[in-house]
Amino acid sequence: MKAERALVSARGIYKQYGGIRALADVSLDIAPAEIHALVGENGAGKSTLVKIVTGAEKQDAGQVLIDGAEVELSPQKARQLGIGAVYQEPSLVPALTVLENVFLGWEQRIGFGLLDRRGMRREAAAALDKIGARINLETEIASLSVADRQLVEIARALVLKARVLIFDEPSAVLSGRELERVFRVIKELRSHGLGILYISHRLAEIFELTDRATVLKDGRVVASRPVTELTMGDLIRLMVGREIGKRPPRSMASRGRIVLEVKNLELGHDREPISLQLHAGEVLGLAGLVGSGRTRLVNALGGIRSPRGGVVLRNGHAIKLKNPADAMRNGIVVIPEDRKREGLILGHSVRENVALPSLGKLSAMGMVKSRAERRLASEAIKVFGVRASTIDVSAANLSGGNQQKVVLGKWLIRKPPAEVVILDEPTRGIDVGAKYEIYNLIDQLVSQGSGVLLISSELPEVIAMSDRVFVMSAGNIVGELEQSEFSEEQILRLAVLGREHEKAAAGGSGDAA
Amino acid sequence: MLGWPNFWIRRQARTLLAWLLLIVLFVLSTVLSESSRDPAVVIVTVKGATFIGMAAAAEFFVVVGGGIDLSIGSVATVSGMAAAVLMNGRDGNIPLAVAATLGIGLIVGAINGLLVTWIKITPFVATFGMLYILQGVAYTYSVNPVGQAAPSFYSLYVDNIAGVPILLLIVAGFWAVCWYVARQTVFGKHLYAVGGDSEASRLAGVRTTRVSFASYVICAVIAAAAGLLELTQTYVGAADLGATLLLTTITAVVIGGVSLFGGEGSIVGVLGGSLVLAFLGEFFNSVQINAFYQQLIEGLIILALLGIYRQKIKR
Repeated sequence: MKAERALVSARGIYKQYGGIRALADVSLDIAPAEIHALVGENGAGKSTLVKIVTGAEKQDAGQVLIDGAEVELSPQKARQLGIGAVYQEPSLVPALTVLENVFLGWEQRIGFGLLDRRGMRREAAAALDKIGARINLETEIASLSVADRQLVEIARALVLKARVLIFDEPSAVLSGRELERVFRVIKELRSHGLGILYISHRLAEIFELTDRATVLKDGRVVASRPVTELTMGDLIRLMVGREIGKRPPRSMASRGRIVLEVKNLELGHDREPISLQLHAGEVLGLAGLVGSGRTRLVNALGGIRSPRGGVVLRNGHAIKLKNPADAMRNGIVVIPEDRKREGLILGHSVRENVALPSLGKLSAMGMVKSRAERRLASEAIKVFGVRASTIDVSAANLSGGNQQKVVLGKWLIRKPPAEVVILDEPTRGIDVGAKYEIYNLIDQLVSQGSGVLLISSELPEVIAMSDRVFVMSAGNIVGELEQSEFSEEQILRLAVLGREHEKAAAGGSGDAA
Repeated sequence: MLGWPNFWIRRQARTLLAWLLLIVLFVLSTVLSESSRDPAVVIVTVKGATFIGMAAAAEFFVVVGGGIDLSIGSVATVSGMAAAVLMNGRDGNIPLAVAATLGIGLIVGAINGLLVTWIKITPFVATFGMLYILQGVAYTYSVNPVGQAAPSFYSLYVDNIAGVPILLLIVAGFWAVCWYVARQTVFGKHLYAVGGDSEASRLAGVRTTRVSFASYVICAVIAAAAGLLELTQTYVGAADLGATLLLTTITAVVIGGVSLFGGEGSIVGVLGGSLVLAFLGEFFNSVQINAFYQQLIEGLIILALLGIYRQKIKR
C-alpha cells in the first residue's frame, strides 16, 4: 500500500505488566513525511507503545524494525537510529541555556576536552531556524514558556539527526496560540520528510494535523486508517466502543439557597476584590485563560493559601479558612488540578487514598476500623467505576482517568456529602469515556443539592456543564453570564480581551453580543 | 489475577526479607557455633536488642512521617544519665526517674518538632543541632559514669515471670503498642500519608504540621525510654551511652525495609532489622571473628538490600 518503506515499524508487539496485559499483537508503521496519530483512552496502551519504540521498555514478543531491519532497542540505540521524542513536560535542565540543553550529553569537542562552541551554536541555530523558532541560544530554559521548551526539545531532536519524532500529548499543556506554533513546526518537519507519531486526547487536533490515525483499545489496534476516511464520531466510537451523543441539558433544578458567598476577597495587590455567590444545586463555571487568577481563587476557598482580605460565608455565616481542614469542616471540598502531586499519594494503595479524608468517620477513639475502611474503598471503586484489580493496588499503577476517579471518589464518598465542591480542571488529560463518567458524577452532585464550582480551560465543557459562567481575566472577574447568554465565542472574547472588551462595548453602540 | 497470599507477599516483601535474613543468620550461627544453640544465649541476645530496637522504633516514627531525627542517641544518653543520678541506687526514687526521663523526651521532642514544623528548619539540620547540644550537656555534666540504678529497677533484666524475662514482657508490650499505633490508629494512617506526600495529605484535610510534630515527640519519648531501660544493663549513666546509637538505629530501620523517603515501611520489619543486628553481633562473637568485620558485613547487607529494593521498583 505504501510506496515508501516505513521508517519505524512495530510488528505484533505484546507486553504485560505483572498480570495486566498492556499490548497485544500491536503493529504500527511510521512512514516518512507522514503525521501519524495514535489515539485511545487512557490505559489503552499508547504510552507503553511509545516506551517500546523509544527503547525505554522491552516488548515481551514481537519486533521493532527500523528501515526494515529488526533492531534491539535501548534508549541510546533508539536515539542513534534517529528516534526522538517530545514529551508534555520537556525533559530539559532549567538552569542551563538553550544551547547547553540542545547539546547536553552530546557536546561537540575540538580536542583537549575543549568545547566547540562555535560549531554547536551554528548547528543549534540552524535547527531552531528550520522550525522557525526565534529563541536566543543563551536564554535559560527556566525563563521560557512551555511551548518554547517544546520547540527547544524539537531542535534537540533535530540536532541529533532524528528522522522520527514522537509527540506525547504536547497539546495538553499549551494554549491556543502556542499550539498553533507547535502545529506549524510539526507540519514543517513533515515537509522535510520526517515521520511523526502524534499522541493526543483532543480529537479535533487529529483532523487538523494528522494524515493517518491508529486507534488503540485495551491494548489492541482496532483501526488504522487515513483520517480522511474517518469522522469524529467514528473515532470516538472506535476508542470507547460506543458513540457518545450530545449531552442532554441538565434539567434546570430551581436554583436553591446560597450555600457559599464570597465578599470582597482580595487575592493580590494588583487585583480587584472578588465577590460571588454559589447556590445549592447549580454548577458555576469559572472560565479564563491559564494565568487568569482562577487557581488563586480556588486556593483561597479551599484554605490552601489565605487571601489578603475579604469574607467567605457559608449558609450566611462567616467562616475561617486557614487550612484545608477548615474548609473540609465547613463542607467545602477542593479537587485539585494536579492529581499526581496534590490529589493522591501515589505510592499508597487505592484503599489508603480513598480512606484518608474519611478516617475520622471510620474510626472510634482514634482507632481505625479496618473493615469499614475496606468497605468504603470497595464502595468507592464500584460507585465511581475505577478500573483497579483490587483496592490494594497502588495509585501509581492506575491510568490517569482512573486516578482522577479515585480522587473524586475519595471526596465524594464522604458522608454527609459536601455542600460546596470545587473542581479544578477535573478532566484534564483524561480520555473521552472517563470524561463523560465524570460529567455524570457532577450531575449527580448537583441533583443531591451540592453547589459546584467548575474551573475548566475547555470551553465546550464549561458550556455544557454550567448553569452560570464567570469569566476571569488578569485576576479579575470580567463577566458573568447566564445560561441563555453564553457561547464559546462570548466567553473567549471576555477571557482574551477582558476589560477592554467591556469598555469597547460600553463605548460602542448598544448592540448585545 | 493474583491471589491474595501472593498480593500480601508483594506488599510485605521488605518486611519478609528482613525476617528471612534473621532466620538465615540464626540457622547459620547455630550450625557454626555450639554456644548459639543454647537457649540462654538466645534470650540474652534478644534482651540485648532492647536498646537498639527501641531506638529504631523511635526513628521509625519520624522516618515514616518523612523526617529524620539525628538526636535520638543523645536523648537516650541524657535521659539515662538523669535517671541514674535521680535513682541513686534507691528503689523509692524509681517513679521520679521514670517521670524525669519521660519529661526529657517530651521537651526535646517538642523542641525538635517546633524547629522542624514551625521555624521550618530542615529535619536533618535541626536534629543535628540538638544532637550536639545534648551531647554537650552530657559531657559537661560528667565525663565519668554517674549515678546508679536502683536494685528493683535493674532486676527487670534478670527476673522472670512464669519463666519469661520481665524485660522481654515489657519490650513485647512496647512493640505491640507501636504496631497498633502505626497500623490501626488515625494518627498512624496520617503519619504514613504525610510521609508519602505531605501536600496531598494537607489537601486531604490532614493536619500535617501536628502529625509531624507528634512524630518528633513520640520519637524522643521512646528514645528517652530506651535510655532508661538501658540502665538495667549498664547500672550507671554515662555520657557515651548513645554514642554509636544513631547509625545503628538507621541501619536497623533500613534493614527493616523502611523507606528513608517516608511513607513506607512497617514496624514489624524494624523489629526484624534490630534483631538482625543483635544476632549478627552474637554470631561474630561466638565464632570469634573480629568485631570490625561486623561493620563490613552490615554495610554489605544494607547495600545488598537496597539493591534488591531498587530492582523491585524498576520492574
